[in-house]
Amino acid sequence: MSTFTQIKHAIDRVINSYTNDYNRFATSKSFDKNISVWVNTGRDQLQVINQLCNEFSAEHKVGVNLKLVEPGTVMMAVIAGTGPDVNIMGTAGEPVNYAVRKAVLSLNDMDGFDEVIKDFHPQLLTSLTFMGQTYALPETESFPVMFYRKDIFEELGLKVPKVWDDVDDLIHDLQANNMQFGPYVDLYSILLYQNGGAYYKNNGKYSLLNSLNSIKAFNQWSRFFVNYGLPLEYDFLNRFRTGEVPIAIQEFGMCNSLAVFAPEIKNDWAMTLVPGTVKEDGTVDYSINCGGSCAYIFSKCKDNDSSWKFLRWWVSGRTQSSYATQIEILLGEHARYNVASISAFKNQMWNRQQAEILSEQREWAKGIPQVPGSYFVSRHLNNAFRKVVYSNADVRETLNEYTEIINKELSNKRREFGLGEN
Amino acid sequence: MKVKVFHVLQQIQKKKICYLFIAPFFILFFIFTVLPVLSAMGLSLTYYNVLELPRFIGLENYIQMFFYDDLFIKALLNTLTMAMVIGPIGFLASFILSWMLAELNRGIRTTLVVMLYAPSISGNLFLVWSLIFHGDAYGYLNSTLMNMGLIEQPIQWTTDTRYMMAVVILVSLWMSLGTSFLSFIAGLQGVDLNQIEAGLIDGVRNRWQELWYIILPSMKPQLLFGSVMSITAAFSVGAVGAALCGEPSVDYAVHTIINHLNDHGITRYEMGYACAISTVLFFMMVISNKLIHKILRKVGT
Repeated sequence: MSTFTQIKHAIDRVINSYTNDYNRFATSKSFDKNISVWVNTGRDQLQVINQLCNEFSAEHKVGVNLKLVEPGTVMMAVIAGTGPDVNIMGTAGEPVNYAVRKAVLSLNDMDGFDEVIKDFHPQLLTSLTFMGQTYALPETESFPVMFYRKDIFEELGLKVPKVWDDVDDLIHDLQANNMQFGPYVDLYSILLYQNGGAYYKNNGKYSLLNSLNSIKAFNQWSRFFVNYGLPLEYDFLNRFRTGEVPIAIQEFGMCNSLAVFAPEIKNDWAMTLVPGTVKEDGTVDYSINCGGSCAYIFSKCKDNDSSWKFLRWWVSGRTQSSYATQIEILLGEHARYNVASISAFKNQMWNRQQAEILSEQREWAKGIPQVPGSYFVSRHLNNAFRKVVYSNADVRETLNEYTEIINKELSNKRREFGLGEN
Repeated sequence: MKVKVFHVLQQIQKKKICYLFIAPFFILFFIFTVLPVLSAMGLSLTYYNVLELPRFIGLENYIQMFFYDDLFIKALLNTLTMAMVIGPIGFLASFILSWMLAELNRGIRTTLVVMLYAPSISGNLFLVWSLIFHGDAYGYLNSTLMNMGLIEQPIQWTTDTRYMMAVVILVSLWMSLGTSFLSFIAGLQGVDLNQIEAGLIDGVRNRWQELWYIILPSMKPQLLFGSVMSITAAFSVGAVGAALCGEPSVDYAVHTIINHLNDHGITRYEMGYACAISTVLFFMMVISNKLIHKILRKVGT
């Protein structure tokens, strides 16, 4: 190539970079009906989604304009009136928060809604539902399981704990060997649900942070740090690999990271159920929290029917399954997409033992409800926790104090949205 | 009145070239700075949840802020604490360092200026501090202290309310040699050498007298600029705290007005209230700038 053509090519590229929108994909053929869909993901993922959308367009005669956006953009675009019809890969808190401000469509009355949700674990809808109305459909799921190093447990002759009482004993044995038990970020939720507690009363009117079950769970949670000195912060992948933390509770997605990050211990670890709580009747409760990303329709959308068709198609087992497969082929095992759809999950490349544990643990999953003002709960739960762990504050008193603050905010928000005062 | 308006118009007509020259800047400044400030003031009188149309509610936001919002008072106190420490120390450090650097020869000076100025242009580079203050036993500071046998358990520098304020102030000071530092260096080089010589002949006996009677008065514009920059920076601290300690920080220990504003505007979708906060912040900055101007006028007298 001569210098001249090279220069010309470079100039063309600069000019094209202004006219070509690299963040926009559209289905190849044009249709009478079109919907715009915004995605918050990577470019590789978007390419796969675009291919799938082409199939959707061919089948339903609806064109799809895909656009890659940053998380904060959707909100601003909706305000400006230039928002999309459908948003996919949104975070779980968004739909309810937008819905109380009338920005998201309720899906309950959509054609075939009851059928669509049969494919999901019902608890995945908890954080997407408010006052009986569901505002989004789940795409991915995540919940904790327990990881442990088989080789270390065998060498030290330790037993994998089944209930929390076993964990107490295990911590002693581990610490005698200069090792630690790896706690989970949201241990409170697990313990709360296993103690039969709940986050809210009356559809989010009151916080139950100072209820008996909650105090019990909180005590159990903070005790691990106050009495046993478990690490408040630790890097799971590294510590698990070196063996300093040979057992930890983590999101199950970590097993994909482990497979890539620590191939040398590939056959030396396993997943199992999170420790449970023995109930009065002798049975064991293995409850855990769950969450995941979701897809929803904005109330300003121009074509409800086509948008719903798209949403339904997107979260269906078939679409999710082929998306998950293609992503894994393209990016590798660490990028495994943790589908929420149960029929799609069955098609994924989990080995038998993993699939069994995941299915069993999923049965115990419980969602955390989203209500107006629920950001205050996680915030003040953290404040209460730090106060108790760092300065040995009284648990009951601290929780009472923060519950009052939370309830004030909850009732403020209810008044703001005309949901009836407490 | 009519005569006055006519007079002004006549002046504009006479100096239309000057107006033409400032027009490009002024138009952009008006659209992107004046207009947002004015609209924020307007929105501060409304209930505005971002997704629905604003609704006029009069002074309710301000009443809520000053009489019912404990957190606003806490954020205000935190901001003032930080501003009191970071503002003056940052300003003085900038000046003293640049005064000392002015003595060095060109090559060394340039190298040192780049080194000292780097932290403030490096954007989010202060995140390296989150490695140093990491709560993990392998965080730089924790592991050093543990190896020395000074502590047994890792200290949670960024979530323990006893240490958070100190950590944030330290990191902010590290970043405080900013634009004002550069302007001081430029100002020091612009001091007229003839004046210093004349001062020597007229009886200046030491460097302090030289500084106070000659250098500082001739640097007044730079000092003014530096002070404005320091004040705006000191009042709008929040990014460092948010990045190191999270937003909101544990028990709001390093919650500043900016964090409070973000909390209401972004987390809680209470944009009207957030605008009221920003209006108050705006006037606080204006008033403290006026104060500083008064103080600086006394320099060299």
